[in-house]
Amino acid sequence: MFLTLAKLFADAGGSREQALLLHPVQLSRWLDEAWTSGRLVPELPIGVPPTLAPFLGSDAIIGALDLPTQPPAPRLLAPSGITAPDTDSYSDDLEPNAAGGVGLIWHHLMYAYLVESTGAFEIFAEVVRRLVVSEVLGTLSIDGTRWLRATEELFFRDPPLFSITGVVSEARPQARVNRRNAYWRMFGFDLPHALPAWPTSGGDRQDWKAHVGLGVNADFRAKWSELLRQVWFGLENSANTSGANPTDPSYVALLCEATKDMLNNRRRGGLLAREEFVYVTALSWFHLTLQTDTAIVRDLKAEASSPADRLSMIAQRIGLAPAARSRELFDLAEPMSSVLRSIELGLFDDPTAASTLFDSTTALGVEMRNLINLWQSATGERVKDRPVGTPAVLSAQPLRIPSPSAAPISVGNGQVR
Amino acid sequence: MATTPTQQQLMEQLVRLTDAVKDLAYRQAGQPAQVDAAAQGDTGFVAVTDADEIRQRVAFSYQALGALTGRVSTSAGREFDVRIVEAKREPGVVRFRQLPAGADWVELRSGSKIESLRIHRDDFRNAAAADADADPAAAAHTDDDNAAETNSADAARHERHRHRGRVHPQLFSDADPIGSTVFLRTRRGPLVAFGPRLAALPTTPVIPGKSSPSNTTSSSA
Repeated sequence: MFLTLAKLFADAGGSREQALLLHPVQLSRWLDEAWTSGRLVPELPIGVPPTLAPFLGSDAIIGALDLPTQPPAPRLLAPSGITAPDTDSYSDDLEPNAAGGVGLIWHHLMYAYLVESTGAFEIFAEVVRRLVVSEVLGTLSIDGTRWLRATEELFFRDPPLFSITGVVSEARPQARVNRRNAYWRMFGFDLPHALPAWPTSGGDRQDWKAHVGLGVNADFRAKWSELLRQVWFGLENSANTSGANPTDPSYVALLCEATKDMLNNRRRGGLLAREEFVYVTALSWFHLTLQTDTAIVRDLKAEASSPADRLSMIAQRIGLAPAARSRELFDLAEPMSSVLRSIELGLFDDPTAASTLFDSTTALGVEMRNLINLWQSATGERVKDRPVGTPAVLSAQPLRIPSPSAAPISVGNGQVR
Repeated sequence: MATTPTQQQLMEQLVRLTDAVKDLAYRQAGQPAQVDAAAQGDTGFVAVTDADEIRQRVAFSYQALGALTGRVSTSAGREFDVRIVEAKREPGVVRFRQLPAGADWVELRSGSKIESLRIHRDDFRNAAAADADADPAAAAHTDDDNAAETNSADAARHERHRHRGRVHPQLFSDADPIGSTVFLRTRRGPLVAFGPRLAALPTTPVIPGKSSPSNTTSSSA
């Protein structure tokens, strides 16, 4: 979400980094406005029936959780008043995209998962802790101090009352655990690093998976890998003029449809919409912080040429290490988010539409090729290779069409088989 | 050696046959779907088959989605620089600003209801009427200064109105919300820009002597 704010600053003639220098109360109010503006997002022109914006499982979820339209001044809550590219003024207006523009939509939950998998959140948590309780990391510049204040207030304390970001409560007290819960339900993925000993404690550290129940997309990884493999066939054979071509757009469309149904099962009635917004927002803050040599990066003497390198240098300052494949995870985050959101919208449910996935002349086709390379490198899973070493007849296509997932059967006492 | 009329006819048929085979091969290979939404305004191809049209819409939708989520184009491309047109709704008319070159058609969509309309571009010859609708103060200025306008003023006005246009929807009444506005070079493509969701106009009765209600989209917060 903060990537969008950074883009607004850049489009207004400022720098992306300036989005990190705003006052936290303005940022907090802007997030509420951004949530509300989701209802302005237009439908996409992809045939009939169309996708119902704002693409979150239910087109009513935005209105159900936002603040009703306020009467003229005096308002109950003041607007964010952000006037890009000036970070030190206040306009008493809503941000233009939230006030009649095209609205704002945030990244898919996969974006948050991939960025958090780098270890960025835990590394910055430790950086913030050391900066506010000691001088071991040195003193900060003025802009670094502004970043520190906003970061601590937005992500390391209780959210403002009745804000859309308030997804921490007695019912779910640990933000770290809450995020893992959402990733687990949507993708069947847990983060590659363990929960830190501090500040989490108590039973909720280990019990959270048991509380999820049956609503887990445990089959997501298998379907995603198969989709990448099938798209690779298409890319590999797109220029064929003779010989066999195992590309099957119909099968790709079926895979996309099964993946869509699987993901949308977790979004029924707008489930996870608010959580997705909050978690994507939090991780986009740290992603934006690492995208360039921002003030805090300079203060920590971690100037480098890529987000992964900057994160690695910051981690060294505090005796931690990021994920070994941070580079791939950062590069995967945005394209994979876009592709999954498109799949959820049914963009590839038709064989002709699905063939766009391996059309190298489009931005989508180019991104799919990169995605395949990055996914292979990040996970070690060779999606480009065909199965070998079996006496059976090799086929590029599996026998069965994909289905969303087999429903687990409860046998009592919470056990599942 | 001179050719006979029969040979000449045979040669012509051969040339036509060769062209037909080339054309067939070209169609089988398929034209690329849209590559760069921003560039299509000037150089985009026009979709010729239903499949082309579908692929182009998918490619455009993907780029538009990326633009809405704040993605930034690579240094070598303009893949997420999708143009956004401002739209404003008034009784019986939808007005557009910041229309890119080549955006001659607009597709208004809401659910399964779709209406394609040719955009009437404003130009400086009817600028007074356009100004009167959009900005009464500007119109007054125009009337006062008509006689004394210089060539440079003409050019400035022409530039100001070159990117504006309007349509008069038939399928969408003022009470119907419009889910999206998509701008195309021809009725079938290529897609060159997109615009906002437009709320239905409020149905408050018009009081004589007061201006008509107008709005762009619903907003709150």
